[in-house]
Amino acid sequence: MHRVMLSALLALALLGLGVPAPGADAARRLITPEDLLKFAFLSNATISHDGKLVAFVVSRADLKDDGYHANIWIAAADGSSVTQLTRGDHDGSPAWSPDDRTLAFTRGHGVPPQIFAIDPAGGEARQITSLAGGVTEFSWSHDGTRFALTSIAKDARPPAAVDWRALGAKPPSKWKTSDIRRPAWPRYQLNGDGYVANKHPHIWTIGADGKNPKALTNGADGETGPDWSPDDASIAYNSTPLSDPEGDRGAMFVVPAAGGAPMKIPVAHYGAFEQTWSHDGTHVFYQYISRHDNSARPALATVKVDGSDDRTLAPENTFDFGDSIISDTKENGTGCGVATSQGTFITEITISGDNLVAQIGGAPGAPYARVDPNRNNTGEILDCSVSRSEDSIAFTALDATHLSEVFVAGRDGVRHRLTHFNDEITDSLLLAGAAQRSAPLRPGESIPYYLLRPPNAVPGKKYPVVLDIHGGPHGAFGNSFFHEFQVLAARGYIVVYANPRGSSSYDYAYESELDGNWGNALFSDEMAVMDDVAGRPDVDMSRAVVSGGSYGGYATLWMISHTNRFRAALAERPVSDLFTEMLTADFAAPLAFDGPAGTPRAWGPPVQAYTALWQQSPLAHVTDVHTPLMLLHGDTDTRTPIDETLQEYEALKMLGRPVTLVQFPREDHDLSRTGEPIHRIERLHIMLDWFDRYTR
Amino acid sequence: MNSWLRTAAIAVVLLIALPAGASLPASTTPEDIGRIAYVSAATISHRGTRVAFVVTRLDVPQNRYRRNLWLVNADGTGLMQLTRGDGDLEPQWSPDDRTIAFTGTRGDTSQIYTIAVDGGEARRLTSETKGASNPRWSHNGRYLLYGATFQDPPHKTRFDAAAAGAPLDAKHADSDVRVTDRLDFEENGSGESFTRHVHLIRMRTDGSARVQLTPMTPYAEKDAAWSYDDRTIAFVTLRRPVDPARLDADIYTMPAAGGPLRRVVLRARNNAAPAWSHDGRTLYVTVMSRNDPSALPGIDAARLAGAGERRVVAENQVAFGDAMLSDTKEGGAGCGPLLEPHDRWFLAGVSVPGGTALERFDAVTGHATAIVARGDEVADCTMDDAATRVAFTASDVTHPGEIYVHDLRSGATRRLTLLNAAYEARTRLVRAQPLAVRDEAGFAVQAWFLPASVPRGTRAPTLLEIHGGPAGEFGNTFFHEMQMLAGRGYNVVYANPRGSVGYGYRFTAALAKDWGDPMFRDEMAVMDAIAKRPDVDTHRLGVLGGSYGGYATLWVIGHTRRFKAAVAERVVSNMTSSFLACDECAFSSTTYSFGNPWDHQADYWHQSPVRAIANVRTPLLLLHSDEDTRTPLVDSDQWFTLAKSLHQTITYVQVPRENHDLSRTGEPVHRVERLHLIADWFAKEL
Repeated sequence: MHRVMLSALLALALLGLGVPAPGADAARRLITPEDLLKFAFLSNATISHDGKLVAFVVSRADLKDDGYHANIWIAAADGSSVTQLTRGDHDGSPAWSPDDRTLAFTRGHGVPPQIFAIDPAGGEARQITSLAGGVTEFSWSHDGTRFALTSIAKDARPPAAVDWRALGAKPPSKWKTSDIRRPAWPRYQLNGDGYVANKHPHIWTIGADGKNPKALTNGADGETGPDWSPDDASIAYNSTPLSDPEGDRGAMFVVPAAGGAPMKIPVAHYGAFEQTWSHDGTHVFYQYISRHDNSARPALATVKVDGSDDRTLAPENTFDFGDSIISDTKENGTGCGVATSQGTFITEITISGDNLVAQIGGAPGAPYARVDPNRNNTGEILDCSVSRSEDSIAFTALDATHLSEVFVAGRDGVRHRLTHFNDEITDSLLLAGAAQRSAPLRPGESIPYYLLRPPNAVPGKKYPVVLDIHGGPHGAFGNSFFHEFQVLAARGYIVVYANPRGSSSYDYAYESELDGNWGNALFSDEMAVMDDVAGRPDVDMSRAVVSGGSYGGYATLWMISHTNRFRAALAERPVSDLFTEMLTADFAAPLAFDGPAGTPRAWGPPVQAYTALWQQSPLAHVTDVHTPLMLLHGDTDTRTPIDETLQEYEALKMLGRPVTLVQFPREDHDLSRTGEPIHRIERLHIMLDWFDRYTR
Repeated sequence: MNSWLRTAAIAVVLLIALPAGASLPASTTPEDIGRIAYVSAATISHRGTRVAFVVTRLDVPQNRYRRNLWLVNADGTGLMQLTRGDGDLEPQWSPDDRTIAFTGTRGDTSQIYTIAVDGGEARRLTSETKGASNPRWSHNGRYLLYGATFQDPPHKTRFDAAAAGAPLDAKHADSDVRVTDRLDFEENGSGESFTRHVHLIRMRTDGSARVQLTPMTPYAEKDAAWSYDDRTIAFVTLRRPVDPARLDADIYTMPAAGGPLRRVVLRARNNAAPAWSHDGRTLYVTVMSRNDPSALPGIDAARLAGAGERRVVAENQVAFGDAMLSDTKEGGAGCGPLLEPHDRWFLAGVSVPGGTALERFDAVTGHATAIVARGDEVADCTMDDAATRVAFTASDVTHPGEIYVHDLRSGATRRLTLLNAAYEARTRLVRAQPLAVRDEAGFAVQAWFLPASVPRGTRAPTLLEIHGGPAGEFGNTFFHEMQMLAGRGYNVVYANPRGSVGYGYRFTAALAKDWGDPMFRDEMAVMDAIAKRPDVDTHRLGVLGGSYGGYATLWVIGHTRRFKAAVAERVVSNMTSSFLACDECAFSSTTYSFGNPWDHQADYWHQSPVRAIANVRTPLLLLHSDEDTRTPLVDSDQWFTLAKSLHQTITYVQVPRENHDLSRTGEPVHRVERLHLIADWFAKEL
């Protein structure tokens, strides 16, 4: 394998991707909320070791089941065929056996998922595991004889505290155990998973034939991320103690694959995670952080399992690892993390709203080698995988006008699109291309933003504007397909979405400017963007509205309590009170906003910092809100509990201000991304109706 | 019938006799909530000869409540179970006393039933889709008036079938997304009660000729009452736009045959419970002028023909209703005004220090005379047509409620039932010792000491119970939880600190703008007095309470370390979040005494127990129910997260499918488990 070849591996030339040709407009129609039902969501591009096949997952909304049907497909890497392999409708995580003759995957819905295996050459899938706790992640041993996996042990419920003898009754079977919960730690629930304090993921091995299951870890803490050493003798994994309120103090362990005492990899850092064995098995690649910091970007390092030879390849706050782009049309990708035979590490990073695949640890002195030399390539990459020869890389990618498809790139550095699942729908739609702009803030500083025009815009006509503010705040808008924005543009809005300070993917200084100061920087940046947009001839700034979810919901409330320039606002799953959010969110981190004393990122412990937290809470400024507001929240959201919305709603109601409350049953923080399809469609209609009411 | 009665009487005697021959009675257990008969809704017949009432039993193994109607003669004979529907409530005598109408939940919905008192099964008269309740006989016996519930239809799912290329399936035709712009968008235990509207229906007593009297509107009607000539119906509703943060209500009348609604114009904003004078010219109405958490309603006499209204009882003078707190009452409503046939006086139930009483009020001067003032809890009263007898329920510290009749001419009171005789005979129930301390503000603070069931001369651990509300009161009524704790070897102390009801408006209003400190000082004064007792182990003190009592418990452990264990249920820990995320707080308590949190943030923070959490050294059991919207779970979450980050000793318990009333109306299994959890916590920590 040649380093030169690797660096040319990924050429993101937008073959087949591009803004639709204007000439074809006549045959196209405007996008609707209902088009959600026609999208295919592709992910998990997993190339076979020999580089000949790519397995991937295709998910589609299913109205009847109020959910999604996901199945595994395979494409020939030369583009000659695309075949549906499984039909279980709840299938994911494809993984090739070392000999490429078996594809293992997980299947399960409503029951704990298990490992299944299927022969890609033909025949139906067979169930491999039947573990009571199911399988949440797994990997093949290098010799193909075993799987390492994570399975969830659930605490037995205590007996119901009832003296049945005193009642002269036998305990009814339903009441032998109690359904009363006793969470031991603040991080007792997880958005989307509900109550997790009684669930503990542990590392297991099991034969490739499903025999000899063996738990390698146990106890009250959870272990995740099992990774086989190249000689299959050991498994590395991670553990984050539940008793740690911050939840970012991961520790790395190695346990003999045959069972035995786990050994901690003794590194001195505050938190260490994402452990991956090096190709030769002498080291472990990992990421670390040296302090609790919401804006922190981990360092990439290698270390021997005894803690020696600990070397930092990329210091902290250098790279924004992974995919931090926010979109409403992606399924969770698996990301990238490949230790190469060259001793380098291939991983995904996000830079300025775009993803790229980088190779780190190559040339001395260089922070990284961009695996893709074409600087004009933009878009979002969900995941990637590399063939054994390191000749081919497969990945899933999308951009502002194209839904996710599977690609492969080889030595020639040209990316080949293997799938065309969404061609029919996107070719029939009049989509808005995203223009990249920047708004001057101060001399030498500007705020990047994107802008969509109505795809059927008429020259000389002025259009109302939607300003959308992203959540996080540590996330970024980027060149990705955003159904909601396309629907708004199709309805005749100019959609403006920016990456103000606090956004990921720029630099650490930019991202950390919100620490201790959630509202003010955001406000000046978004106002600068609006001022920049105001100069356009096609906008009607007297008909501007503002919207956002999560931190974007906070931001929306903050905007309308500091300016009356918007006609209407929609705040989804917002934070209205920083103190309550900090202490009641599922990541309930009393120190989440509290950096080391004396640093600019310290809010201080919440009780001592109460006044500052209150002043940065939209609720403190609620009397200044005169903009008609819709608040929208999912009942089971534990990331920003619905009480955040209720506080703002009741306050505005008591003040007699125009405010409407929309509550979605059975939906959590991810309504707009993974909610029931009918709810996602209805949410878009409710949004359109609300904005239309104030701008038409 | 007679032989059956005799058999039943013997059985009762046997049940009482049996344990006496055995060893000493045992203390009450958590499971005993399944042995107690909960008696409510004492409803005397028009002629005063019989009383219908409701008996509730908790079936713990089946995890359900069983409520049925019983009858007893006014002389104490003829006790019998009348219905067996297990969901029967609200007995109402027909004018001829031969039939009882009631509300029965015998399927998915409640409906109106009638049953002949001299034999035969109940007959269902209504088939209202969303249920019916509150049957009221016309005085001529020809009609029944009731309230039927109508549910707003859900909005149609916003979906463009043309865009989708396929129609939406039937399952999704109606949306389950909730869109609202009301302040009262949820109600503890009832969910979105604003989407349900009770309208008045009149029917013949055989269920025929159903006529909806009040139109299908987004409003609701309640407290409906027939005039004595059966020509007019009075009721409560609100049909004018008002500040959403107000709890306004108006009195309306309408022809019983149907016709226009007419508002009775009154001075006060919040008017309720209209009672007709016999001559049909006047409505007696409870009135409240201000939204004030300490307010006590007055009573006005409203002339229907022009002459306006007359104040009978001034506001903030008399605590009408039953403010007593207990975990064993099913009814426990106040009662009245009950007018005598010449409209010269009326009876009403009022809250007094440590108890409730029936008082007679002069209909002109409002001058009150005590009629039944036993020093215990008297509730659910009704009076016969001739104003000779009153039936009611009464309970005290060692007796769960039973049915009583008071003869207004002789002044004699007679107990008619002894449904808890067996339970009382086999159980050692402890009498409370009253005490009083003078507080710093000069008020006499009433308190009680329930001695632990331990050998004489032993110093026992001692628990301070603090009540919720704060506008409520402890007193001389049966409290199973306290008896259970005393039986487990704890002295139990409970007091009515400033903020409690029954001691005058100023006493209740002492918490305005100052929720924590006056309560704290009064409770500590009581503890100082108690600490001098030889049977109190001052090194083993515990404190517990729910709702405002949970707030108080957190306040106490943040301000003193004298308690070695605490149990705080359904707490308020942060005044801002608790006030703004609460289902009805914007209407009632804090707004009008504290102002709004965004204007008075420093006060809100100062009054929040969480401010002082760093001072806490007391091990705490924190208990909250998932569906509590009165004091939402987020207040416990805030405290728990901080306590954990401060490495305090804390156990957090969350109860599924329960709301703010777990200890009163929760699933029986959960109620038993809750009591064990509390008892086990104190056993472990003390």
